[in-house]
Order: sequence, then structure tokens, then C-alpha cells
Amino acid sequence: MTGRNLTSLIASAISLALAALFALFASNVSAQAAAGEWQKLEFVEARLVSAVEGTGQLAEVPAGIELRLKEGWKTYWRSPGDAGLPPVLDWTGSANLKAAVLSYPRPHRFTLFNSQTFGYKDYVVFPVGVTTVEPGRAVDLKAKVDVLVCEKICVPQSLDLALSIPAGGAEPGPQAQLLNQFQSQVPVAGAASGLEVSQVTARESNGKHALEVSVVHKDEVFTAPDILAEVDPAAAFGPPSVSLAEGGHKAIFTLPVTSDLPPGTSLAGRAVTLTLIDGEHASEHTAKILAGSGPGLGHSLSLNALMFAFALLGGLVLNLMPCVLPVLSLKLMSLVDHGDAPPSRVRVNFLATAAGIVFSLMLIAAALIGLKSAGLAVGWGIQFQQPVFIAAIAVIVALFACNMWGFFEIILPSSLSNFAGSAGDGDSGIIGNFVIGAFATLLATPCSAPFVGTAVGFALAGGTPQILMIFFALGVGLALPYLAIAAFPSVARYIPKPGMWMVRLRQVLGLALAGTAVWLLSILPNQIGLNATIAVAGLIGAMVVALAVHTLSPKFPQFTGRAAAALLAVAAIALPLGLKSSHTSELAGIEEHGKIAWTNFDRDRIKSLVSQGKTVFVDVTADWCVVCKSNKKLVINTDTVSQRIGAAAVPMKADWTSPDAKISTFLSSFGRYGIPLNVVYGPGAPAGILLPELLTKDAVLNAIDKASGASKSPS
Amino acid sequence: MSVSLKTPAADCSHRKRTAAAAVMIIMVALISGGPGSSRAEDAKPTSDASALWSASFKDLTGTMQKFEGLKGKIAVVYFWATWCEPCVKEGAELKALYEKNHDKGLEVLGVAMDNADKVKDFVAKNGLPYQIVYGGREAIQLSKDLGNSVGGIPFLVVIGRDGKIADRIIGESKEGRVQGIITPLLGG
Repeated sequence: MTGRNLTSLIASAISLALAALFALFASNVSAQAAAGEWQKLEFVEARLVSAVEGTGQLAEVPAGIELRLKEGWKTYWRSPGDAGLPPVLDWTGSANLKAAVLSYPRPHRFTLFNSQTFGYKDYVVFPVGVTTVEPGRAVDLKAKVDVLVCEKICVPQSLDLALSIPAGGAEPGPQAQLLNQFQSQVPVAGAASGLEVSQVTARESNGKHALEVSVVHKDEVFTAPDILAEVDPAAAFGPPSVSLAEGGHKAIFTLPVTSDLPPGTSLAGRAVTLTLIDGEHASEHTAKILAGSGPGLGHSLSLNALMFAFALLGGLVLNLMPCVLPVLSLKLMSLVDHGDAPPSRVRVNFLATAAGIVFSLMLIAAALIGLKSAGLAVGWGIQFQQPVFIAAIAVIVALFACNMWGFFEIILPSSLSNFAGSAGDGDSGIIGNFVIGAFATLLATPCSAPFVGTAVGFALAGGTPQILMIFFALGVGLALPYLAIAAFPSVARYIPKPGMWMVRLRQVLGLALAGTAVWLLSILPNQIGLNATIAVAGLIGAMVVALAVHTLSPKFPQFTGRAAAALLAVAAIALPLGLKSSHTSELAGIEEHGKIAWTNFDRDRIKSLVSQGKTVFVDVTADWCVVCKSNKKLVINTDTVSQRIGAAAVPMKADWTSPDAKISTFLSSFGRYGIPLNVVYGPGAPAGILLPELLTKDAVLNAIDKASGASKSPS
Repeated sequence: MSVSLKTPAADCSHRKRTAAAAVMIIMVALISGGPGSSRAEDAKPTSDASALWSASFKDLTGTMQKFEGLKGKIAVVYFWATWCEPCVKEGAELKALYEKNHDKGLEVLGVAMDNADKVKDFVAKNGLPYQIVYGGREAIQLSKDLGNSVGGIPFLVVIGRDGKIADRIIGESKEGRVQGIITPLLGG
């Protein structure tokens, strides 16, 4: 190596090192502009952050307070619930500050010993909207932040934070993505959320107060909604019970009041702020509470009463089934045979049988509750919003209808039937009669299974109280004739005799079950779309036909029909399972499984594509961006729009789930530092057409037409 | 959605509640010494309960109370607030402890760091049977004088018949721990 070479090598090394040093210094300066110093206390550390590098000409500068709590610690929402305190801010000492408004991301509900608190665990960023006295000039923020942090101890902490945001371009800084992420967790105000609070009613029963709220979501189905109520004057509420209606588009919440209201007063007339949280969706609504009519805890109570009445009636009707009525008749004959027995003994025997029936149904309920909690323990929740569950229940109900129509029979092992039958013989004492009751239920299985099975399906979707209630009512209904005879032995004369009419009744009830299957299928289009629902319905219909063929034309081999029916049943259940990832999880997963073949965002490529006469559709999105997801669901992934994008444009996706400087710069070129952001480029619009945040189909289609230019056939 | 920061529709009740919270939290933070509050005091916890004998606080009727009456008795002095989540459990356990041991000579004094109305509601709702007083700055100063190095609650001090601090618990106590401390004192 010559001396000259060495000198030039050293010179280049020095200049490289200087460049690196400068770059480091520059990045530090920019980091400082967008974030203040961390202030670290024992249980919490905090700093002020800004989404932008300079104040620019912004009417409101997006800033925030970033809080890192010690692991397992939490701090509180603006209405902290039964304990806790909200953060309190004092901006004294700030310069060029007109107002700083704190927003609260959606809080978590914490439950501890029946007490409810709302807040944030481990980490949170509170977005702050900063307005300046003189826009365009630097703003110096000084914030004294008092927060209560709690774990097994509550410690009030006071932090002094500072941040200077200089004058100059409002370019998105390193914190833009973080602030945008937490801003997207702030509940959306009222109508913009797509949700409508249709009714807020005060209920009262026996001095117990409750608030009943109905919320309608036109475009989407509720999954696991929660609601937080803040009333003025204040009152405390327990966790709501929720019932869903209209295929999951309507949620009815009943919030019990846990604080004492002054006697003679109610919630009616008070103003209420409702915060509705369903997964990553959150919205805020204000309303006035109306006086409710009718008895307290209204809807859910009356709904439960209705379910109880239906189950009771169902149980009673079961007695008329061909394989149940003979059991009753047998028992009645034993009454005749033992006509000389004292009435009190007859009564006790019939009561014991009734108890046996109720007991065996409660056993089924207990098994179901066990199954359900075991399922929940492994994260297998059963919800009526799950299309797979609805399809499975529809298949089962249709199978039961086939059973009612006699297309196939449910046969008990003969040993079991014989044992159950023999248990019915003679005078067996209280325990013997109790066993008869239990076995009567078992013996009745071939006919009662369709109804008990259907009840099982519906009960699984309910809570433990509903399961117990439905099966208790079924048991009491089934035991009603025995109870009636125990009370009034003369009733025995009015019990109908077995006959052909039972078969007709069975067929009619089969029709009722078929109707139930159709109703279940009518829920599906909301979740998996009309085409997929028609496919599921077709498979179930084919299954019914496969089972019916042998009965209607005995020459057709029974086994073939049954095997085909089994395959069709599995297909009907599996179809929504296959669709699950693209449709049923509603918003999640759409991006990965949408119909559009996205390419990765590349700003340079846009120019070259446009110069080739092509149209480019750019979507800047992120996993945490709720609006982005709803844009995809309601606009981009619809048939009309996705087909148009696929046919006429190059779809390009920029994923801002994690910070990305290139994407931030792209956003800032449109004066934005947040998403969603959609832009269409093309020969007719080389600078790009910026689309509105809330997309509409027309906006996208018109922009593609315009960007593709006069040629009208750009691709 | 660009970062358009909007005020959540804060109704009147929010503002009232926030104002109340502000008063409390500023009060508490001021007295706890803010960010500089040191744990160095941990190093030499006092065993002297004399700060209690010179303190005075209002009871729920607004009457000033002094605590010399506790001298020569086994006493648990319990610092708490209605906004303190772990205090809910601690308070319930202390109630049971008091009911079980009061006949044997145990006294409990609850010092609430809160406003009077909230304390009154809480005491009425939970039927707290022991003496309750409340206070702001002085209550927190007293808890520090009795060895509350963290400045948090629940904080609990057990004072023996000799007037000395037998033990103190900062934060939620394990079930049965307080009983374990007072049993030998009551027996002795």
C-alpha cells in the first residue's frame, strides 16, 4: 500500500466517522424535539412526547404523556370506579400554550372483591391535544402530572415533565406512530362510531335499581361487548349482563346500581355518558336516562321468564311423545293395580318419580356446566356469534327433525331399555320410584333427545344460571303429569291414551324443529355472507334428503344414505370453519386474507408504475388501526371495490404496525401524521388523490377513474 | 384517522369528580414530598409512637380527637382512603380482627386520607365498628412519622402497651399476619 493510498484511506475514514457523528447528533436532536426526558420514580416513569418535529401551522399539535408503570401496577381512567383517582395535570409554567386537552384510551375493567375499577396496567399513553396562543411559534410544555399508581399498595406519584416543540415543519417524528396507536384507542364520539344507542332506561324492582341500555350496530356484529356508564349525579354500577339480539347486531345491557340512591329517587332524568367497548372498538355516547315502565331488571328478567316458560311447556309436551307416554301409562296402570294402596303412599311414589325425572335432567345440566367451564378454561368459549357453532346447531336440529319424521331412530341399547322397563314394574318404594323417574327420562331418550338436544345447544350458549334454569324447567315440565296426579289423583282420568295421533304430533313437532334450523341459518349471512349461507343450507338440505331416501324408497341402501348424510353434515359445519379466518373474526385477519393481491409499499415504484401508465392504490394501515380495518371491511374488501382495484390498479400496502420512517415521511408529504391514509396515483393524477379517512365506495371508484386518466383503460 | 385530538365529552360529573380528585391528589402528592420523597428513612425506622400522642384529627362528626386514650393499650393504627383499591380488602380484614379481639383489649384507629363525605359514606356502607378520623397533610405526615417510607397506603402500625411500635406493614398484608402480630401482645 503506498503512502498516498494510506492518506486517502485515513481521510475517508475520518470523513465517514464525522458523517456518522453528525447523523447521530442530528437524530438525537430530532428525538429530543419529539420526546422530553424520562422522569423516573420508584413505581412509574413518564415523559412528554410529540407526534411532530415542529409546530408548523397546526391548529392543534398532537402530543401525549407516556407512562411506564412498574410491572403489575396500574393507574386509572377519568372515572376510576369503586376506587382509584384519575390523573391530574397542571400546565403552569408552559409558554405559548393556550390549552392542553387530555384524552383517555379505552380503559380495562378490573374486578376485585365485587369492586369494579377502570384503568390501565403496566403501560399507557394519554394523547394530549395542544393548542398554541401563537400558531407557528415554538411551544414549551411544562406538566405537573399527579397519578395514583396501585398494586398491593397505592402510592400517589407526582411527576414534573417538560418538552419543547420548536417552530418549523410539522413533520411526523419518531413518536408519531406511538401517539397514533393510542389515539386510535380513544373511544370514537357518538354517531361517527357507526353505533346507535337506541334506548337508555332506568329500572327498579324491590328497591334495586338498574340501568338498561340498548345499542344497535348496523354494520357489524357484537362479539364480547362491555359498557361503562358515568351518570350525573354520580352512581356506581356493577358489571353489566349482556344479551344479544338481531343476529348479534343489537346488544342489551343491564347494569345493576351498586351505590345507594336516595329513597324515592331513580336514575331517570340524569345525564349519562356511555363508553362502549367491544374488543378493539370503543365509542362514547351521551344520553338522558328515561323512566322505565314495568318491573325492574326488565328485559333480561322477562327474557329468562319466557325461556323458563318455553322449557316448561317443552317438558310437558315431551310426555306426549310415543316413547314417553307409554311410560306414563305404565305408571298409571301401576296406580290402578295398586288401587288398594293408601292415597298418601301413592302420592309419595309419584312425587319420588317426579323427583327422579328432575334429578336426571339436573345431572345433564351439571355435565353441561362442567363441559362449558372446561371449554372456557382452554379458551373455547361458546358464543352465538360463532358461525361454526350456529352451523353445528342447525345441523343437529335438522337431524332431530329427520328423527321426528321417522327417517332414522335413536335406539337405546336393549339391556338398558329392559332394565329401565323392569324398574317400572311393581311397587318399588320411594327409592325405587325415584329410580323409575330417572330411568323414565332415559327411556324417553329416543323421543326426547331432539328437544333435550336442542335445549342443550341453546343452553350452552347461555350462562350457568340459564343452563340450570332451562333443565330444571324441562324436568318440571316432564314431571308435571306425575306432580298433578300426586296432587289430584283424579287427573289421571284426563291423561290421553297412546295411539296413532302421537305419530302425527311427532311429525308436526319435526316441522317446528325444521323451522328452528331455518331461523338459525337466517343468522348466518351476517357473519359468513349470503353465498356461504346458501351453501351451508344446501348441504343441510342434501343431508335431510340423504336420510329420507331410504324411508321413502326402501330399496335404496340405508347405509349409503346415512354415510352420505354424515359427510354432508361434516361439510356443512366445516364450511364456516374454513371461512373463519377471512370472515368470521370480523375485522381481524381481513388484511391477510382479503381478496386483493397487495404488493409492498415502495414509493419509488409508484413513480415508475405511473410513468408506465398504470394506476396505483396505496393503503397505509396497521394492526392497531380500527378505522383502517372498518374501511377494509365496509369498502375496500367489498366485491365492487376489490374487483375494481384488482382490475384497474396496482394495490400497494404500507404497514405502519411498527414505526417506519419511510411511511412517516410518506404521511407527512400529505400533511398527515396519522392513519388511515389512502392515495390513488395514476396518469391522470401523478401527485396522487388523497382519499377521505372514512372511505366510501364512490370515493375510491371515482378516484381510480380520475387517476387512470383519459385513457380509461390504464392497466 | 389523523391525530385529531378531541375532548371526550366531559359532562358536569366528570369535572366535579376530577376537581375533587385534583384536590386530593395534589394534597397527597404535596405532602408525600413529590418526586424527591426518599426511602432513605427506611434505614432507621422509628419504634417511637410519640407522634401519635401529639396528633389530633376530626372524627366523622367534625369533633377534634386526640389519641392519648390509646396509651397503655394494644392499638392498630390504619391509614387508608376510599380511593385505595387494596384498602378494600385490608379494611374488611381489620373489621373482623377488631370484632374478634376488641374484648381482649384491642383498639383500632382508622385514619382516612380522604374527604369527609366519602369517608362517611364508606363507613356507613361497610359498617366499620372502630374509631375513624380523617385528615389530609397531617395524616400523611403522621404516617411518615410512624415509618411509612413509601408514602403509600394501606399502611398499618401496631402499637404495644409500652407505647412503642411493635410492627408496621406497608401495603396489603397477608391474611392472618396482623392477627399473628397482636396475639402475643394481647396474651402478654
